[in-house]
Amino acid sequence: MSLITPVGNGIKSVNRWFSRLPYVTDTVCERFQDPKANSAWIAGLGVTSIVLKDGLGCYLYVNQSLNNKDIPEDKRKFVAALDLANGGLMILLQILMTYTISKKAFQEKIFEKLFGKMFNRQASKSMQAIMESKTHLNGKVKGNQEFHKAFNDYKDSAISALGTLTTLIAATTVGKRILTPFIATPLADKTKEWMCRNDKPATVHKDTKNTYDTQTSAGEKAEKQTAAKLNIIK
Amino acid sequence: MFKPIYIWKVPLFGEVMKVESVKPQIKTGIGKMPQKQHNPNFTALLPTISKTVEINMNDEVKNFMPPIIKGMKKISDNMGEVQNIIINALGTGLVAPIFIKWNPLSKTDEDTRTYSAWRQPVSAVLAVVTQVGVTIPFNRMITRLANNGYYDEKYNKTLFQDKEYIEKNLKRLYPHETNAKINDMVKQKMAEQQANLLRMIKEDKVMMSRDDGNTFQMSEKAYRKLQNDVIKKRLKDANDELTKCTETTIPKKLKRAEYYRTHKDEALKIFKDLSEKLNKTDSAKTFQKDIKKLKKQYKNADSELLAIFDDILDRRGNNQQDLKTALDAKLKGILRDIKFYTDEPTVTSKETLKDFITQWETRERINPINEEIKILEEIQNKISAKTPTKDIENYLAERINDNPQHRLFKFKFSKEVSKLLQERIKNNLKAHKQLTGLRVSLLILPVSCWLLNWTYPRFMDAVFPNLSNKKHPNEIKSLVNKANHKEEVKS
Repeated sequence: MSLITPVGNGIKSVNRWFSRLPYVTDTVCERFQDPKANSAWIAGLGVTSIVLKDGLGCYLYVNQSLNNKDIPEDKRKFVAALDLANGGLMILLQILMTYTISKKAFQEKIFEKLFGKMFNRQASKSMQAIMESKTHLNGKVKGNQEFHKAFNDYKDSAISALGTLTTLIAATTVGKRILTPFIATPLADKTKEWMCRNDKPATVHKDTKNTYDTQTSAGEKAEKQTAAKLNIIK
Repeated sequence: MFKPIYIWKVPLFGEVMKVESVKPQIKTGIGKMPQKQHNPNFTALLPTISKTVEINMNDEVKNFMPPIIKGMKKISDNMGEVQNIIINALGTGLVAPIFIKWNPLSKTDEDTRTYSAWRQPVSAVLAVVTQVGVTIPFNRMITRLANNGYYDEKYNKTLFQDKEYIEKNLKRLYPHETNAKINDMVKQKMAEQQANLLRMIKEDKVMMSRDDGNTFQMSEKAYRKLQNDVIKKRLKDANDELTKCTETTIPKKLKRAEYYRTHKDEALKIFKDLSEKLNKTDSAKTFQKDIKKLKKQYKNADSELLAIFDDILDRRGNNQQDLKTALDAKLKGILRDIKFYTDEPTVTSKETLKDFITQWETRERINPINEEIKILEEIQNKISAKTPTKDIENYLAERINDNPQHRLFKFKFSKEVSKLLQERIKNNLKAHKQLTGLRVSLLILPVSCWLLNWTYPRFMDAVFPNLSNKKHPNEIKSLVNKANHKEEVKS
């Protein structure tokens, strides 16, 4: 208890300190006040979070690969290069996808296609007529600005949700998980070359030299070697 | 020294005290729950709840929204770091493996690809477990701190605490009370907090609480900005409506009314027949199919008739009955409009029709909107001059003059300020939670990476030993050695 309380208080204080930062209070909070108008920015914040994590993850993986004693030394750089190419591409493609998908004109087109008929004039009039037909709402909907406000609120929410979802899915699924794997492998070779540009020629350690033969099993090889030795003795 | 007022022996967390008597930094006990009380008498001091049931238009509209839109609203309201992590993890866990295993550009053997593909779902599960596992407690902490007044005014919810927060505290205070009674107390408490907030706004003194029991007044600048934003938002809506009315509604009405004027008999016949047909049918969908057929039949007719058919086809309903109601209202509206425009004696030509519509729209819509804009602009001036809210409301009442037809009849300024304040703080907390989630999930990332490195080979060894063996050269080496050893023994 004696340790938990100061740690808890510390976390709370740091959290409050962050909440007071001018960027948070003046920019981030202001953007969140109008999610419809700022849906691209809010989606961008989500993607930024993922990109930052990918960046840190990439750094950690590259570092781990370069220092991983379990990976043969001559292969470490290729594994690390693959991690770096993968990470770099992920970040790049996610940013690219975000900029493309979150464009207002593009979002408006998708929204119109998917949900336009649910929010046009006829949809609004239909809902008013249906609501007016209910006893407790009779005479209270038509011409009521509260209705239009609530109806538009749903429209704004749908626009905001669509913007965030499409941007995140395009960035994290299409950019990161579909396009990246296609480009990462060939790019890894180039990255490895770049990483090795100042290296002396690598010496392959005898223990980690790749001697695996898909044609002849290790047993057969040993047999042949023994036979060859016997022949020499003979 | 101010003493907290107790109702049912529970102090109001939402500032029951008389605001005039409070000086900043006075201990009130607000924001903190009091010591446990025994034998509470809930009913004796209960203020009566208003019996008039006010319609909550948001809830009513929600009932008639298509399920997919309700879902989108839910997503929009709850979008945050947790949801970002989950979407990212879904892509990692479900999509990535497919494109790794079946990547046509890859020259690696299938087993290696399968082995690599399995790393993705493992990584996704670990990301969700670690990152969401850390983000959720932080979100809860932020909610709790906002409710008990730990934060500054931008995130301070002490004047309108969450239902769950009040409920939890009351349950702790009265552990033997039934859920129904606790629920009643929660409703009561929330209603009181709303009433108190409204009173404070009317008095232009919004007092928030700190977690240590002290109070502080919302800054003048922020308060006036809030008031101004309420008016600005309403002004924007009024101006938008005005633009829509002059640029869209009037030209559209003119076009349609001209069709009714020049094709009265045709229109009456078609829509009377359709109305009768709709009354006889049970299937609104079949009726809409008939309209499509009719549209083909009249494909060479006036384009406005086709536009009317399109309007009918655009009518919506979540079920057959609702759709029928919407269609019926549309057909009745069409028949009413035909009568309205063609029975008007002053309308004899397109020009007279235009005059008639313009005059009618000006009288019924444009003038009331202009009047609203004028009043709102005057209120804006008053806010700039720091006029007390009570005076602003008196001015508003004077201008509305109890006229239920006035566009601002239902506009209660202090209520709107209260609503906007709550919405602002809710959105600020959403922003704060998202940024906190970002930070903590970044901090936990090294743990996620380490866990993945530790778990992944073990998971593969346990679940896919065949694939896993291929990846362990030492294991293969030992097997080969073993085999060689056997050979040697044999020979």
